[in-house]
Amino acid sequence: MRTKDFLDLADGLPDALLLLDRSGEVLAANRAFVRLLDGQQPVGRNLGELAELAGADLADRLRRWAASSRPTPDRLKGFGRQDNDAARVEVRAVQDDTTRHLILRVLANSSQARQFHALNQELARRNALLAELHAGREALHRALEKAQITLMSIGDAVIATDVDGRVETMNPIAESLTGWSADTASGQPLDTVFNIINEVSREPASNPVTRCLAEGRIVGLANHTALIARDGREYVIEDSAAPIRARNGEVLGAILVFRDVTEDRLLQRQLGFMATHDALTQIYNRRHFERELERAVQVGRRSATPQAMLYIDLDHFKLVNDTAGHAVGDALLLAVTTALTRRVRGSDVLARLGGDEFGVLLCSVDMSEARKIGEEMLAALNAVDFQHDGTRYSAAASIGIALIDRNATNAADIMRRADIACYVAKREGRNKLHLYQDSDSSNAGSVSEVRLANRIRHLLATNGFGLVFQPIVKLADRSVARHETLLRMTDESGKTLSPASFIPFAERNGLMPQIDLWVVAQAFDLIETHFRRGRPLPLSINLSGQTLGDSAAVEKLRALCDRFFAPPYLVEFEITETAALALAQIDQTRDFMRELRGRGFRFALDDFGTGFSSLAYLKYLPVDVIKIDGAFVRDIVGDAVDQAMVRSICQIARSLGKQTVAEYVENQAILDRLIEIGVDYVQGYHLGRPAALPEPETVS
Amino acid sequence: MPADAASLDLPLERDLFLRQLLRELAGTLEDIVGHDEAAGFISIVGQNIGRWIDDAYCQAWGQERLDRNQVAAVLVDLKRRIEGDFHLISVTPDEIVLGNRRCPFGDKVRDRTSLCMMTSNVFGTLAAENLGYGRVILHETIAAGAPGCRVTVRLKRDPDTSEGIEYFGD
Repeated sequence: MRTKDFLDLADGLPDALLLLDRSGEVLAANRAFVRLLDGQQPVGRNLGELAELAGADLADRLRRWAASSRPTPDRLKGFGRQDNDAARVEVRAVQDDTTRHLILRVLANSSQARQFHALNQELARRNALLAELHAGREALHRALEKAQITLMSIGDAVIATDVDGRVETMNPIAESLTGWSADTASGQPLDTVFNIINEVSREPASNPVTRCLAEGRIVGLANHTALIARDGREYVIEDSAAPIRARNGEVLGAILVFRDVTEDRLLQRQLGFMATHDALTQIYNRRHFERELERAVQVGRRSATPQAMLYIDLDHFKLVNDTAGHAVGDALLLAVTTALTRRVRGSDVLARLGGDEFGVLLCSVDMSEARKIGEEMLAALNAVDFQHDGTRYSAAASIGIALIDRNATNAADIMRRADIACYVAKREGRNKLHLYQDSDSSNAGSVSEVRLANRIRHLLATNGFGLVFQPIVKLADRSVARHETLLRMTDESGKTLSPASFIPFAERNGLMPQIDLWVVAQAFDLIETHFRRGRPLPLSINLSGQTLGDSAAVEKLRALCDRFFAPPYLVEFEITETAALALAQIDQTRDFMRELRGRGFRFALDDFGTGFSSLAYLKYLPVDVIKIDGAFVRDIVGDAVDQAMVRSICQIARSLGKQTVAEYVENQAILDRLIEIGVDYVQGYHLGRPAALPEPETVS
Repeated sequence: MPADAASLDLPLERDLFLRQLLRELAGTLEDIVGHDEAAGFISIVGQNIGRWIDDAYCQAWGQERLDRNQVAAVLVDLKRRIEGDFHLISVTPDEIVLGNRRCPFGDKVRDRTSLCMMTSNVFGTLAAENLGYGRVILHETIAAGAPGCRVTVRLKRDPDTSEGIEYFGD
């Protein structure tokens, strides 16, 4: 390489470069190299001199460097360095046509390199930190965004306050419930925006955020709290307030979460009302009356002041129902209720005991006062003047009175006495009143009840009861899933009696176990026969609580089940929810049900929803199916409360993994509504009336 | 549990140890001084080894210098002796082309391309010492992830190319 060529290329470069011949003589040095020697020109000198090398050491290096065009690293002393460190160099050979030269490049010294390396490492460390910081900020940003979206879309109302209880933010639900926009509310004291009162006393309620901030803990709202919105609307709410804390535990503010429970509360009240009241007349129902009667009996035993029960049975009501229809019958019942309500005192209890039967519990009355009130009631009923479609209807009733004094034994006995007295009144020509006397039991009882009891026993002994079967349809595929087995009884003249006319009597007189056992035996026989013929016939069979509470009857039932040879899943027992199934018997009933369920028999809870203890039964008894009381189903299309009830029952059933049956499905509109609600099975006249022999059928 | 360390079943033996050692040395060099400088250091080692091998073959053959075919044969043989699997693809007056299926460093060469300077320098030094000149071009290497190596040793100078590394005889 020519010196000029080298300098042309090397002078502009920042690296210190030398051009050497193979003996180590410096042929040229670029400007950077001259600077390295503080301006001294090295040309003409030997590298051995510059780098303090000599002899074999120099020769070896020169030989090695000259062997390859690849830069060979090395370390050399000198080159004007102040320290004793050797300079790092690299040397490569360049060959042209005739000669081979060496080019030496001085590399940055090692301490510089170390500093540079340290600097690089520091830079890399800071870059990594910066990247981490960026990533953290990004994650924080995303988390914040997510939290805000969650807050905005959450179903509960949320208000955040600062440590002084002033509103900072609120979500749309909170805006809608308080009537304040988040912007307007921001900075306002919470009390201004969140105006709450006790819904009962109407007094201002204490603000949970104030307490939460003062006590530094989660605080719930008192019961019966109502929120008054900015526009005056009132919502019943439930809420809680929780402190927001910094990482060091310092309280920064509070989060108030609340929700509108107005609907729930109304439904709850409605449910409570339904449990004790008659759906049609809105006066107390039989269950509540019996409870009150029992209480009156207990009080009467210790009290000098007697009380009385009136058993009111409307005369010829069935005729009205049969000739003018149920709607007119219902209207007449309402008119009767109004008339009776006017005659009872505040402390008395008026209840509808059944179809056309009413009961009145009179407090602090003796026999003559009770009679007087009874007579007033008869007169009031006679005064009922009710018109429908141009026909006038009047009411008349037979009233039986039983005194509740120190000798009263229990509610059932008082009820029986009043019932007998009522029968005597009816027998004496109707529209009459009769005071119970002990002699009535032998007279009236022998005439009516004893006759009925004898009839039942006779029918049991002679297989004289009849069975009819009503289809229960599975909504999912509209197939008949099974039939409910229903009992039919005729009187001596062959006239069919409605179950309502003899079942309550049979219950009162302890005849249900025998009747149930008869039905079970018949139904089992039928199922087995069909099964043997290859036509499985799933049936549901009613079992009264009285039967399940009777250990002898349970033993017989167990024996029947033991002998039953068809698949048990073809049998579904419907437990009629009844006061006869006392809580004391619940345990043994549950054990028995578990035993049968373990063998494959199924259980349904009948008439669910009307009784106060429905939910308790559901908790204790292992049932597969809940049968919604027809009283809720019949008016489901027009009655929002009934609809809410059915919906709630279905929700409860679903969450417990149980199936639902709705009875009293009397028309397509009811069916459509039940389909919409999601009931599993339906039963009623619209789908099939009780018939003698079940035939496979489907509904459209 | 075996009674003593000597009876443990370990893949540790001298050859593997040395190869692993070289891998670690090359890796440390590459990490600390950078790939190019590491390759420079390894080049020095390669040159020295190249001369040592050259001396050994010359002495064994009883010749001061080897001819082209001998050089080609030595390139293959030396690799065979150190458990490489080089073979001659072609030998012409201008170049020797070699292929390789197995690196003497074994799988320890992977991602240690600075170790290829050993081959370049040994081949280049052998060519330069015996034939006066060698330009070694590593077309493909196992170290860089290729299934095999392909190496050309050009024996004639070509001022118009900068490919590969030139080696010069004395």
